[in-house]
Amino acid sequence: MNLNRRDFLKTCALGTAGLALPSWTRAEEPALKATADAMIMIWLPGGVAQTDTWDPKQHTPYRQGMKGSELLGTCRPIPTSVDGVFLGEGLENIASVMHHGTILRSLTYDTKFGAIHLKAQYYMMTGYLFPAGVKAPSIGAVVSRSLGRRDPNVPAYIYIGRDIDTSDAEKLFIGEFIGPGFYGVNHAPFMIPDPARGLATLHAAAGMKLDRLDRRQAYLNAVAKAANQDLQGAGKAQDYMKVMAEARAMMDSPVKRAFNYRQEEKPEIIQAYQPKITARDELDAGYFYGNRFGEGCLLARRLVESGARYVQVEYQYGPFKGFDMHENGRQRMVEMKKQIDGPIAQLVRDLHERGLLKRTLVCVATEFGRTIAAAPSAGVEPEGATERHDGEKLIIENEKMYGFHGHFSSGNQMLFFGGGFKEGYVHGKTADRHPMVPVENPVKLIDTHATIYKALGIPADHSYETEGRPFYVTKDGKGEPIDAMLA
Amino acid sequence: MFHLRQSLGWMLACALAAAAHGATTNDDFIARRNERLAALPPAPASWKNASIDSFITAKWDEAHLPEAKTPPPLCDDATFARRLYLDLIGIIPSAAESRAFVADKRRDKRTKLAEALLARNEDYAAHWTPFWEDALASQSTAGGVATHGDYGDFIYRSFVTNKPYDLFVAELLDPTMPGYKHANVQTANTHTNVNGFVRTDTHSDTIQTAANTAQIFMATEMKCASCHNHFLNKEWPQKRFTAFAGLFSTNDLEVIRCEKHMGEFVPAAFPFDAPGAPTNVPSTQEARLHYLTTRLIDPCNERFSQAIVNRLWKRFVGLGLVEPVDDFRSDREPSHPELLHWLADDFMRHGYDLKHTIALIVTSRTYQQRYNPALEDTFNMQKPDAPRYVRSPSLRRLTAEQVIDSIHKAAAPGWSGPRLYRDAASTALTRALGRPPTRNEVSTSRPDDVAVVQSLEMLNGPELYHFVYDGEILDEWASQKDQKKVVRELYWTVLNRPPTAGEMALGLKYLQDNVPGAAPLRAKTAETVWVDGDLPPGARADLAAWRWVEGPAYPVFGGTRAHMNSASVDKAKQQHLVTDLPPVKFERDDRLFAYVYLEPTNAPAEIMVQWNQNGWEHRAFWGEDKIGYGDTGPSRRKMGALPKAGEWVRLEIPVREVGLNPDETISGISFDQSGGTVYWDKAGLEHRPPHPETEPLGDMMWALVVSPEFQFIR
Repeated sequence: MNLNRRDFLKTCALGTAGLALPSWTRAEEPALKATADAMIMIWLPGGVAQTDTWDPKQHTPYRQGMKGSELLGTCRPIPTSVDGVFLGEGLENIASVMHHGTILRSLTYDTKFGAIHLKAQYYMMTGYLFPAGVKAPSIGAVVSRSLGRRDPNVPAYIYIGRDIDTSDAEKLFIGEFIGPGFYGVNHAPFMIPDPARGLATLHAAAGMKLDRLDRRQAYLNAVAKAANQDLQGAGKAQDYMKVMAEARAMMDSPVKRAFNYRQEEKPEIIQAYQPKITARDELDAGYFYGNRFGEGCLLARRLVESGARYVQVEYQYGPFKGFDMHENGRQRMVEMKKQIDGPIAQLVRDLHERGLLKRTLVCVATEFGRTIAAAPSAGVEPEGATERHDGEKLIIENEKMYGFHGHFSSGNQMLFFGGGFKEGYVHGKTADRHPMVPVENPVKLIDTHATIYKALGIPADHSYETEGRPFYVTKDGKGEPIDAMLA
Repeated sequence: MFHLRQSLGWMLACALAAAAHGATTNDDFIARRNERLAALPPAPASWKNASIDSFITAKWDEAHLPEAKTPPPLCDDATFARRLYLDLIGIIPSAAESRAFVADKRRDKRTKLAEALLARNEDYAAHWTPFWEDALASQSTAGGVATHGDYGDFIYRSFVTNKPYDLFVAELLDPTMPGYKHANVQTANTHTNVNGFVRTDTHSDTIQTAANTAQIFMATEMKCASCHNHFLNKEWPQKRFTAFAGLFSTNDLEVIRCEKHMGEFVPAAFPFDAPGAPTNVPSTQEARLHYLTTRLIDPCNERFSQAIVNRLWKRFVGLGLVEPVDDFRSDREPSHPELLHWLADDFMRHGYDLKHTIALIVTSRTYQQRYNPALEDTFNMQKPDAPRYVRSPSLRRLTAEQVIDSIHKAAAPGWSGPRLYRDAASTALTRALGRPPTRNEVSTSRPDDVAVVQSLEMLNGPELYHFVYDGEILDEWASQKDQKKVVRELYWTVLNRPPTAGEMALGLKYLQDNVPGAAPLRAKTAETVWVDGDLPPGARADLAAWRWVEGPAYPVFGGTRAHMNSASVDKAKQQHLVTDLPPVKFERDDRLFAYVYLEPTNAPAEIMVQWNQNGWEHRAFWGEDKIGYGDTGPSRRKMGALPKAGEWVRLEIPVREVGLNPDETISGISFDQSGGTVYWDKAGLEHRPPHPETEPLGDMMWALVVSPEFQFIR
């Protein structure tokens, strides 16, 4: 049994106190009709400059001594496959598939995150402001718990492109908000740090041969059977052994084949997923992950083909790295676009060609947008300051300062392809001068999440019990889907 | 029923007045508390001969259960020892400890074992620390995000000394306490973060702090009432909660209902009445927190002691007398109301001494009962009032800390740490076993679900594999000719009991099917030397960085030359070379080695060796973690303390520890240091042939470690 908010209030009024704890084995059946069965989240943390990508403005080339307010765009707008819709130069591939997608240009937050990326990322990934007072589950965990596995042998929530073992406080924090929160380990993501290395635990450790692995497992089963009678009668111990068998079965499942892309995909397809840049070209070599992101997109497609429910592909975030640009913004964006343009476009194209895009939602997101910086060393402004800057006081003295270096909680953008979202549609509009805040149809994050969940058939007031109370998939169950973005 | 509050209330006013300025020393704090305790009315006469067991059996009598006539049996000695070790110090006993306990003929040996384990202060504290770190959301700052502060050391030290529980809580909440655990204030990105349990920077911080305090120390869930009246619990209209939260603030708080400001300010007040208690709440934040703490920990507030004894009960018996343990409600009866009162009262009268109550519980007959799934209690939110009789303990899943520390103990009987709770790193295995990567929110329980992601870690995860298959004990067993003895040792070591005849037969069969008959114990090792007095032929290197020195003026290990570097404090220096290093393929058991000599008068803070295989993300370091390349794990593997200075030491690093793939060539090596003077000599790869004779033993040990009997406390 599971209750949405209205039912819950009704139940309260009748004075019944109990809420069923859903069994981990059973997926809940939400009430909405889904338009998507699977989702791929392309997660580009760091704060993507929307003016250089999804929402280009007038190209204002570098001129020493120009004012910040004069800098409107570091690249030319380029036409897309949708009439009148433009993207930033360097995204020619994504531009060619825009007729499959929706651009949300007017996402805006009341909360200003200032310098703190992690709080904004937490917000995007969970829909709750940190600290939420409860271990809030991530979108992937919500989808995993609400919809369950699509194929019984393929994990519901798979995460590609983030390192696993860490003692770094920042990475630990990230590990928490992409995790299952209070849902527990059953809805934790299967982590695949590097697509080329696959999911390590689907292979025997240390090259152990499968026949030996199975002899060992048979010995385990015999040992467990021979053990104390009382223990054998215990439901918890039985469940434990059942899941051990399930884990072994997963080693033979179709999901494993998904990793064989180098053998099974055509060379031109593999090529299409490669970054158009090499380590040597990269301004910031420490942040070049080779094919990790691009092949992550390819793997995500193959996993969805194998029956995965929710796959997230991250371009691994590092402070001041990649999209988190605080100097050299123009150059950095040129390079980052070379990393993401091909893979994202090819993913959409592949899904479409295979007839999967209709029922697979691809979403591209970052934690906030960027704006013109207030001062030469940006990123240290107090909360909310960048939202007011128009760049009048910033003098761009050298090329390093030419770019969008300010965090912008007032303006963020997202892309959606397939899964029941409109095709060739743009939602909302932003100002053409700084600060480039949404000026038409501003959208709240809670409603964006509600829209994604609606496409997947999960009501915004779907909830699970924790600490004796319901905890909703959107805050307080109040998300309102933006139907204008849905077909 | 015994009503403490009414009897004690009359004198609360003067006590609180006296306490207005707080205790000056811990002794003063304890003396004042003892005064309050001395004034307690005597316990009811009916409690004269009461014990935990008398309350438990009384309920059997009442319900006319068969157990009233024939009590359920006790668990056997071996099971008891394992249960008690895991419960009190969080690690399994060694085979020797288990055997000694089983062989012990003393009648009171179970009590004696409880005393002995409770006296192992460091182990006892190590086992409690993660629980309280979870409960207090203890962690250091994460990427400029303010948190509740790092309480790890405070908790550990408090439990090593068995600090009275009321004092422990007062030091967390009351800024006037001499031992107050001050918040850590940090400025990051022009923003000041207060990292402490009590956080009141914003309205929402204050509300959350109040809710956390109520949940952890009064077992009262108020979060729901923080934004509207509690849907399910009529005891908690929003205003009652807002009044409580005001005690954490500098002023009375406004009711904000679901983000709407209601314009109504509620006078701060402690939510539980005590007749005679002063209601005039002071006006400064410090004084308010002191007032709050005084009301919270006072003997009049039974909820405070009941909350903690109920947690102890759950920890050792499996389910709380009140469930859920964080959510006491007036409309929900404890399973044994009088036992809860009695335990709480006894706990207070013994000076809030946790070890006293723990000893009471673990030496009771109730605790020692055999696990029996047919009699095991359950708690179901839909039927919260279904009776619970405590005729069997609950089956409890080991925590990540208990599992991993116990595997280390089994794999190397001499193992003495460091225990997992000290390690901040979050790994695939620790997460799979339910240890949270961070502690952003308070939590008093770890989920005990089973999940495929966890089973796969057990089945194929490299961490568990190495813990088991690298175990020293396997070498010892491999040299043992008597296979029966091996199987016996295996069971005593891993499951702390002898194998049954059936288990012995299974074990022998596995050994016979899998051990190659005449395999040599361990073939000779062979070395491939890469650097020895010179660079390998064809190597590319920054030759200026390689300073070669000769003996006897300088220390040299073998040959005529060593290479060395000196660096000033906190400066990192490096000597590296790039070339394909033989052999083309190596074995997974091979080890990298390098000889190092640290100048005794100028030792470095850290030394590191890096290897290149598709990049330099293969590193091992000794000493402080200063050089900072890579991340915890194979790209920056911590090997331990610096080797002894003033002598040549051979550093050995298993190739898999630094993530090197045996099927690909190693194409570079780098010698790094932070500060100090360091000499390096011969370095290369030591070939270790696989030793088939330990692998089946590893398989068997793995099966026992992964079996339910190891993973649960029964």
